Amino acid sequence: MEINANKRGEITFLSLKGKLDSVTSPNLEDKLLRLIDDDNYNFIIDCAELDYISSAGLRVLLVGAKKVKAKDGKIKLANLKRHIKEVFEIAGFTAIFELYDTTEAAEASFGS
Amino acid sequence: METKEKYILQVKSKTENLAKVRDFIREIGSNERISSEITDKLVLAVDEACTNIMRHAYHHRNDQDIILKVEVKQGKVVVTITDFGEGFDPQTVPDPDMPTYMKQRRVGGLGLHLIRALMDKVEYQTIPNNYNRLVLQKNYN
Repeated sequence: MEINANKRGEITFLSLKGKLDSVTSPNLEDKLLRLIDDDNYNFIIDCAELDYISSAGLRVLLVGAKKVKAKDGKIKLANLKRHIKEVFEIAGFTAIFELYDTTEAAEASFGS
Repeated sequence: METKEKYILQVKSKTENLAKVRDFIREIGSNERISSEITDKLVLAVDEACTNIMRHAYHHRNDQDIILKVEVKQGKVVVTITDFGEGFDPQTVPDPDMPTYMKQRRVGGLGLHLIRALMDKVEYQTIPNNYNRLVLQKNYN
């Protein structure tokens, strides 16, 4: 799993590459929680190169979503591959996370 | 039953082996010409089942056995996963409700919820002090 982060304005962009499972999700959790501790509360996670997600990955996103919610922030996701999007739907996570087709659309939604 | 339709994998209960388990299922999917859509669901359900075994049946002990047996017959894939750890009663694990999930402190039951949603049939049998057996069935075609 490769995780890249950069900040533009009030939004922190994370891009995920590879597989998010029980082995790799602690890396994302560390990174995400550290960023939240450093006062980043609005995130766009680019999943264009995310090939796989299990409940371990979903759980980390949920932990992050709860933390930023307490600070009126949001985690939004963009560019999910079809089979990844399906996992979000099956898990009921579309009720918690906003999913966008592009990072630009996700970014625009923060402004509105 | 023809042996060519039967696949067996035995792994130790360490999370690093989840990739091996996923590759095993993916290879069967490709051998048996099962669509990637069905294979993706099987891969995830089996990953979740093995993760649950490592965490709950074996309590993170990483030198215990997990045995996977896969049979492909008459338009269905049947995966039987056996472990020798602590059993549980699936009925005590309710499907999570997302709006309340956000408010809960602890986040559990998600793996089992996914397994139930991804598979066509899920059966669990526990023989105390002996073994636990999870049977996952996915229909295709």
